[in-house]
Amino acid sequence: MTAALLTVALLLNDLEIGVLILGLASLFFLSNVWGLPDKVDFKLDRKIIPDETFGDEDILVELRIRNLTRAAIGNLEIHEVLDDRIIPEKGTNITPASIGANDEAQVLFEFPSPPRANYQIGPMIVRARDPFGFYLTEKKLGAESLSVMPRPERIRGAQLRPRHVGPWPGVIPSRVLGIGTEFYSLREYVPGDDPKRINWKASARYNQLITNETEAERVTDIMIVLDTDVTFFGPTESELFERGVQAAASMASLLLKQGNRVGLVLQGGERGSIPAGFGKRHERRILYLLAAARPGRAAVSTSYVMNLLARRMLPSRAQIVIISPLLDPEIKEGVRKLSAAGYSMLVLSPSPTLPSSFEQKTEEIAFKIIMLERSITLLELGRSSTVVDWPIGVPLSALMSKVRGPRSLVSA
Amino acid sequence: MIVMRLLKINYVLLAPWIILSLPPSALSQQSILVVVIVTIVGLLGMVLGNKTAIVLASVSLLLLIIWGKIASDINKLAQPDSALLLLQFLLVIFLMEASTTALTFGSTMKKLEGKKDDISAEARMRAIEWGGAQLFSLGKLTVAAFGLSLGLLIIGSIISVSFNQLAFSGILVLASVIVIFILLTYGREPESRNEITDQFPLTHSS
Repeated sequence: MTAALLTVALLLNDLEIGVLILGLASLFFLSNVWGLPDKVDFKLDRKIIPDETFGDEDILVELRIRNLTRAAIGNLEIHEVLDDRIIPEKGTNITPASIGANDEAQVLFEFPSPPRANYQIGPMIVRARDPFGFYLTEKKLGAESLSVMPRPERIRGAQLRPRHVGPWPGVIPSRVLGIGTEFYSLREYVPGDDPKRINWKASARYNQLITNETEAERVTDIMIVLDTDVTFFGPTESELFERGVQAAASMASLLLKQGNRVGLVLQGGERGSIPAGFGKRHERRILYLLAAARPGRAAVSTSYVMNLLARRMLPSRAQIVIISPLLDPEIKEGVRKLSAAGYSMLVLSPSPTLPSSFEQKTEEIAFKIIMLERSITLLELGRSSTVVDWPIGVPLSALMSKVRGPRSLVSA
Repeated sequence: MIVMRLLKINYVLLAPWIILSLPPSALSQQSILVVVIVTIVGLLGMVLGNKTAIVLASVSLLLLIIWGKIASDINKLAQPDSALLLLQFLLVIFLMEASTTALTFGSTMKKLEGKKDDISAEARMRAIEWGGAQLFSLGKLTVAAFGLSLGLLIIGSIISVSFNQLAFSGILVLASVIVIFILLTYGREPESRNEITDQFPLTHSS
């Protein structure tokens, strides 16, 4: 504009038009002198409280912007970039602010916990400008993650009996003598045996002291495979998917509490795997991956991934728990191969609910065919593994307590 | 808050004052029509929170001021007062920026509407403080720029009257260009393209 005004002033030989240039130039000059300092520096900090949640509490985000410049910054824009699903209920994530020299501004906002997923909070962008916006300085603080994880349901116990057990005490019967709770055999009493273990009835019968022997209980290595392909079930797929995620979280939590090493393979819209490990931190890692689960069909078949990862991540004859609505017909072959390789297989299949109504007759027929195919798959899987058909409304805890040995089909 | 509300109707006062002070022949005797158009565009921009409309109305006013001066030169009409011209010019720039400030303030307040908790109250206070500080800074810079320009104009006029020669006028123009160049680039590195702005566009600009 300045150049245009100068040209017009020279063309018309009218220096009064040049007066307007003086106004613009003065504004520029004064913005230079009084506007934004040459060097602007901020220290940015963010706290997400809490950054991991089960989705039943409000999330507070605290942003701190410390002005390290020796002058006040009057025109500041603070913008915390948020996912579309997050809407602040208290405060706001985009705000203008003024901040004094060496002063600190604190921006707070709070929102109700969004649906289960991993979210990016940020990046935080702080923009300082002079009042007329001639000069701009920006600083960015990288994004942090907020994980809304599935809350594990409390399960009393799942009686898994893999052939592989580890050296540490646990709850998995190991088919060898040792300290445990399950009766294994009888033998003659030898001095030093715990008198509490004397079997008095047997002692009376054999006329000598007989003691009970128990089966040692150990930990094992377990891989949970969560298949989130629910794409054929239409209106009930969301519920079916959430039940699968919930079951994986609950099983992982229970098995880790029992001292086992647990890994996870996530198949579906979002894929990932965590090798077997133990402890509280490992449980968080598994829940974090489960938080990212999305329904959908994986590009690579579950059967292939399961076979590949089981052989790499698990010792032979360990336990594999498959949680799947059983839509992939190849899964039968995968389970058969792993069973043949000596792995103990438990298939937990959340069964879809019958929709209240169908829009078309063909939809109803299609649904019935899918359900029939699923029933056939369940029966076929029952030949080589323990299969649990999980209907809606039945607590997982009640269902898992019915699971006994291998090669049984449990249905509520 | 009152100032912010008054800013919403600034085009109702500003547009008639500027446009009606221009020679009617410069606008083909259609001054009223131009006033109505510019006022409606500016007012709509303020009411609907559309920054493009505000910039359009303000830039139109700036161009009209310049066109009025050019038309006066071409048609040999009475020349407008230089100080008034400068005042109108700077006032339009000030109000354009103040309107953007009002829009940002309004959008922040809208986000906090209906929220009665402490966090929102604090955010509201922060926005009010920012609005006040921003308008004060804009006003301070505009008044200072007006004073500086007027001072330079008076000095220039005295020198021009004392040495009214073509060669001297040429040197004066050249010196002005150099001074303007220094004023524009004083103490600043040339602005480089900013990747953050490219990735996350400005939510408001003033």
